[in-house]
Amino acid sequence: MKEMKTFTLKNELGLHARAAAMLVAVSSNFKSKILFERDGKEINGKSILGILTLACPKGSSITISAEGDDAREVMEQLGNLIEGKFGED
Amino acid sequence: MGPFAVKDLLTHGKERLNLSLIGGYSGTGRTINSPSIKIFDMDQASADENFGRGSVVIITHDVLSRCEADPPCIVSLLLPALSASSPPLIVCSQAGTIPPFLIEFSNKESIPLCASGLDVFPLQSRLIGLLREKIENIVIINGVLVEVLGIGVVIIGESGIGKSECGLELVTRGHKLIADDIIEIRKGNEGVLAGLSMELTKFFMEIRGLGIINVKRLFGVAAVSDETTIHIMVEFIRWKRDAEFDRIESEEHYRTVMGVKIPLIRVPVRSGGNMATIVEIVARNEILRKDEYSASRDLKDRIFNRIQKERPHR
Repeated sequence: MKEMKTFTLKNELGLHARAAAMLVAVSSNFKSKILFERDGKEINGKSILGILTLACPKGSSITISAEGDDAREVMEQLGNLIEGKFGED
Repeated sequence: MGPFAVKDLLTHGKERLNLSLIGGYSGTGRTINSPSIKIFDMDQASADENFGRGSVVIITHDVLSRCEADPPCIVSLLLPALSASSPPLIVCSQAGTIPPFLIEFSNKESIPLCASGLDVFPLQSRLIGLLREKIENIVIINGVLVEVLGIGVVIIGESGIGKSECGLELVTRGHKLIADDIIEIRKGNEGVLAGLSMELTKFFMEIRGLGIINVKRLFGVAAVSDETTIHIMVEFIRWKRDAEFDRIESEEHYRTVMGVKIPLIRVPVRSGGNMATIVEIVARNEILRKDEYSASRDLKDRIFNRIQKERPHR
């Protein structure tokens, strides 16, 4: 199964270290191969350093794709984190 | 390094970018000189006279629907802006049907027009990635880059298999870390590949259980290097009982990066196996191989000669 979706970062701080850690914590729980794409870079969604190099500010867009049996669930959970502004106000 | 013809982009990127050429066929010899991409924005089109000169232009689905709803926009905004900047290529993202006026325009101006099934952001990202590779000779891969005895070794393999831990172990043995996780590879004129770290995360590593560490701060400047020539790749593979690995010599595998063939050694990872030692041996073997020595050939020759000698004479 392959899923792909683009998200816009709505939280004030963008994709900061703590947020990246939350995404990786979710990604790492799944078997699917997860990729984050932005600005010509394609990064493993299970790597904190990788996600941090994307340096996404508020308002920027990031495309996430997942491939594997649990692709749909991982996309849903990652989406919830981003849409939920990583629990920030 | 140099400009990249649209027809080459169509061959190389057809699948990844999900492209199909639908107009401006006579213009496919046009060249793209820069990896910057402009996304056409109706609200800024008139303000910016030098809109995207020389860059590939993406027209989004939204712009096309707006044109459809408000046809005067086409004549007053979209076409003049495109005509003035004369982009080497126009791509419509998330393309359903491409309006005939755009196809007509591209044919008249000899500007290749493509439709892509991708959404605007992944399309933009992948175009930048491809153009950076073809124009600037830069690609980014996932892995750990270390320099062992002067040999640049890229360690690849699925996440969680222990690439970073192996890199750290090599650092404690006096070898150098260049990059953890994200490696930028640049191809030089002589077909030599140089590996670098991303500036932002340079010399940082993520070690499970420890979190983020700074290798330069922990081990000093001798433990790191800004750049190294890439000589060989090692792929860590999860060990399976029935997977076959050659016991005499590793099979010849290669990974091609920007047309340069890099020898690839595939090693199974087993608990208790010391991967840092394996990588050190790979580097030492590579040094011997440069001197045209092969241990497996040496051993095979010896055995062959002995068998010849021992053969009973008739």
